[in-house]
Amino acid sequence: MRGALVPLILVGCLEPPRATCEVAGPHLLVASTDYRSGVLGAVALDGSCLAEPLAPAGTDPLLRAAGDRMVYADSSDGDAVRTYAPGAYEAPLTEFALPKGGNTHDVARSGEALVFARYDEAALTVTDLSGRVTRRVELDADADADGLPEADRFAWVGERLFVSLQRLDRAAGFVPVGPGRILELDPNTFAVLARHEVGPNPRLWPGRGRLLVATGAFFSLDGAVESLAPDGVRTVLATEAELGFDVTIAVDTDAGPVFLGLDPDDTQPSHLVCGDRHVRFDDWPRDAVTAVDGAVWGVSRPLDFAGIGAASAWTLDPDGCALDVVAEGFLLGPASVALAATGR
Amino acid sequence: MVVLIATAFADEPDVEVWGDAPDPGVAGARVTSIDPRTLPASADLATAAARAPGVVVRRLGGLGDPAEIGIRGAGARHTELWLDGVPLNPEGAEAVDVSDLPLAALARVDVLRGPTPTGAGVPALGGALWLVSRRDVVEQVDLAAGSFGTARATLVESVGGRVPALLVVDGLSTAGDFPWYDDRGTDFEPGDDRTVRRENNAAQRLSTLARLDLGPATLFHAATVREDGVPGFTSEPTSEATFGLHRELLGLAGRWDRGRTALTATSWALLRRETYRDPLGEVGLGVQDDRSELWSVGVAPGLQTALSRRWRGDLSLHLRQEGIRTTDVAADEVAPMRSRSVARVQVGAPFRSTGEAVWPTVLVLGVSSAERTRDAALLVLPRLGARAEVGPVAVSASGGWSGRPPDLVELYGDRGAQVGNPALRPERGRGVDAGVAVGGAARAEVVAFASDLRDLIVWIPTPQGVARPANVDRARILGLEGSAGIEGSRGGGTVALTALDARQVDPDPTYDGRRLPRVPGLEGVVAGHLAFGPVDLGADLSATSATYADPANFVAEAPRLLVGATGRWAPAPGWRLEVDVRNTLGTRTALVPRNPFGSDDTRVPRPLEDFGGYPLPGRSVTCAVRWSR
Repeated sequence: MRGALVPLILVGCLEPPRATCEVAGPHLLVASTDYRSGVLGAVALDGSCLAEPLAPAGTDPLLRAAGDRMVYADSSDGDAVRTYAPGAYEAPLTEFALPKGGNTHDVARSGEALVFARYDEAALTVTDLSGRVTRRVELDADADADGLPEADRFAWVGERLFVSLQRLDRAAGFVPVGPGRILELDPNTFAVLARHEVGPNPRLWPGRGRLLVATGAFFSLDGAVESLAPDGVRTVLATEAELGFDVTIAVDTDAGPVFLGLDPDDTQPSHLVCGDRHVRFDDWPRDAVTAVDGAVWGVSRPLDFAGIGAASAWTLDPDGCALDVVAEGFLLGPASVALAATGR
Repeated sequence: MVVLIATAFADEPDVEVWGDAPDPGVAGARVTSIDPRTLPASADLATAAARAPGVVVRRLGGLGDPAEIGIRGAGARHTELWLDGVPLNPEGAEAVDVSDLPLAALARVDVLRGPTPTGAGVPALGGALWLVSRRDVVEQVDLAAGSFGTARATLVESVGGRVPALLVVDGLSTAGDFPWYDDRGTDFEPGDDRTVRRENNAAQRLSTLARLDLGPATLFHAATVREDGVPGFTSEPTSEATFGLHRELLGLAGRWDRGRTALTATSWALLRRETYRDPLGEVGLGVQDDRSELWSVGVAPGLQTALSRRWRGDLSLHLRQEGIRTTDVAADEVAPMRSRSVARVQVGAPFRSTGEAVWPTVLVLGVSSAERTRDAALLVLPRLGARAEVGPVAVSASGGWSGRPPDLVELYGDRGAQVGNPALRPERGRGVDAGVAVGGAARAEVVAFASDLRDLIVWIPTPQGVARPANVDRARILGLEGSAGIEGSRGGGTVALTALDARQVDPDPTYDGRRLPRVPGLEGVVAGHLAFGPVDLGADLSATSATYADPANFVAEAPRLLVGATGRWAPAPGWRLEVDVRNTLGTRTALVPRNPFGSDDTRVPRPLEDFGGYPLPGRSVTCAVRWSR
């Protein structure tokens, strides 16, 4: 007690905030940040509890559900990775650091292996659950002129694993200089099985029996949303010029594909398109995840510079073309979300 | 060796003050004067300023690495630096890296705290450093070598006579490869922690100062050339990123006294060229090869005239034209030159009688851009100071408004990750302080102060991945400063203590009432020395309470205690040998809770930092020899 009291007095008697409720059962794990610090929080799916803060996080956090573990990665503080038991976020089961400077963009789990897409490396890094590096999957052959392929995101279609390569030219300010690529990986060895060319700068989401790929430069209406079948057949679902915004999230729902995105003017509200319905909302949709039952859960943060919107967790209502808010009042702006199918 | 702290609240040179009187141009301020010659060989300007109460120094590493100064809880852009009456960063434009300036060239470092009713017309929200070049007649050579591949050589040559002149040349080179504690970002897994050396942190710097006194006029030139490695955040260390600086300052100042009237004038031309190269894209978004040129030309005439035996009239002008041009060499893009005009007019009417004095002033600051865009601003900043003396005790108070118009980078960006915002409003502040001082062989001062800073400019990330400034922050600061000193033939000592309650005022409950990041609640510096014939032994201690690294106050930083020791020996007249040890205890880490939000009480070591991702060095040793006559 005395040991804790002295530093408390020295810091000005500010108690760190504590979570005021506990989430049991399936929940959303949310990483929030204001780019200067970050926290993890959990949201009950029925909205009855927002438990936050539960643990510190970095300023570029990433969350994924990976089998019986929740994986947290952050590229802002040494590419640290934590694996948690769902619902137990006081301390991780394991924590390890990937080699510095890799800039982890995504992680997927296959069996007892974790595979990391690292934006600043021309390779995928494979580790076991304790963090021991077991393999590197070289991607030099898929790099653009700057030597880096910009491996961005993984997506599963059934048992088949894919990764997107954005192939941006860093010497010219991270602009796409050619087509992007989607690689199919062997889920056991992570070796490259097939390569599919798509539009430039692909952002990847799993769809229903297909992949959804948004293409084009960031914050310009030069791209499209493509459907990519596992065998490589491409179909353009919509162009950004038609939609009138820059697509940041694409998901498949019972009612068809749904697109969310940002207005080219970053002071204007965001966009949500479900079929022929197009609505505007004030927040910045940052991340979404599709549950096994097809429900789509996501998080938004305020459009900071515009000073509009609110931090929220939501579930998508594709029929009403609306984001039904599950929780508001996050301490910081949500940046990443993962769905824990089980709780403590 | 000991720092001579001369605390003054005075208006005219003939007013009794402790130690060296502050420059008449800065009279009326809360001034702590520091004699750089008393500091250790490893000292830089930040070291000097840190000896004053109310000052927070933030470093990106060790000697030669960039350092910034905040006064009374305000930020680095709220501290103005003046060299011989010339503003180096007027209105906080380009927060000056104080490690650029050669300490050996200075006779005095005056730390002005808070809103100051000065003749120079300083509107800074935090305070100012008023640097005065040395005027003693001396030949001096300093050679020093120390830890982390650091070497320094300084030449000071000055002459008296009819045309006094000064030349100072100061060169510094450091490898900067100090060991630091790398926790690898895994707070929950201390087993992978290790100690590694900082890489790409070398710095080379050459600074010169030349001054020629031509009767009532003084011509001076100061230059700095530096080339530094940019080591990057510890999580993303670099190997080839570099920063280069070339700064030239040419000034002409004069003072003419005619009976009851004194006319002063200072004019200057300042050119600052910066280069930033990141050929491998290790730091920011992609490969960068940027150059920027900032220039400023100005003139500051002043008039002081006795209106009566007790009233004096002061009028000072400050007219400045400044501009910035940025070039993206990699993309072969040159931005158009942006320029603007700035005018400051200050009118004052100080009143002084035996034992009492009052300084009312009004400063009007106007900004107008060449393009007549929305960055025009007009600030009216009234201030008032008063002082009463009863024997050795002086009671004083001051208060007023301060302000800072947005600088050119905030208005127009840097063509990189910083996008300008021409709609920014000026930052504004208001503050009061009151204090009691006791003089004599031993001296002491206690000052209480309060300030309210509004419309603070903060860089906000946008969805496009760049940052854009906006007026969003507000802060309320309460503080108490105390300083004391004593100096005798066998030794002496000083102490400076600051208690600060600096909190954010924000509509977002996450931030409202939280402490300003990296502004400690308690801070103290104690220094003392004892002389034994030709040997002088000294020690200094710097203590800082826990702080937070972030505005939400989620990332706590542990209290810090750093101890320095210095030994000097004068084996023969004109010679001095010195051994100086910084961070004697070799402290490189502090224990912090690994999860401050849980019931887990486990604490883990984390590297000492002033800026996140930039660790501070552990113990360092400097050996120096000085010859002078």
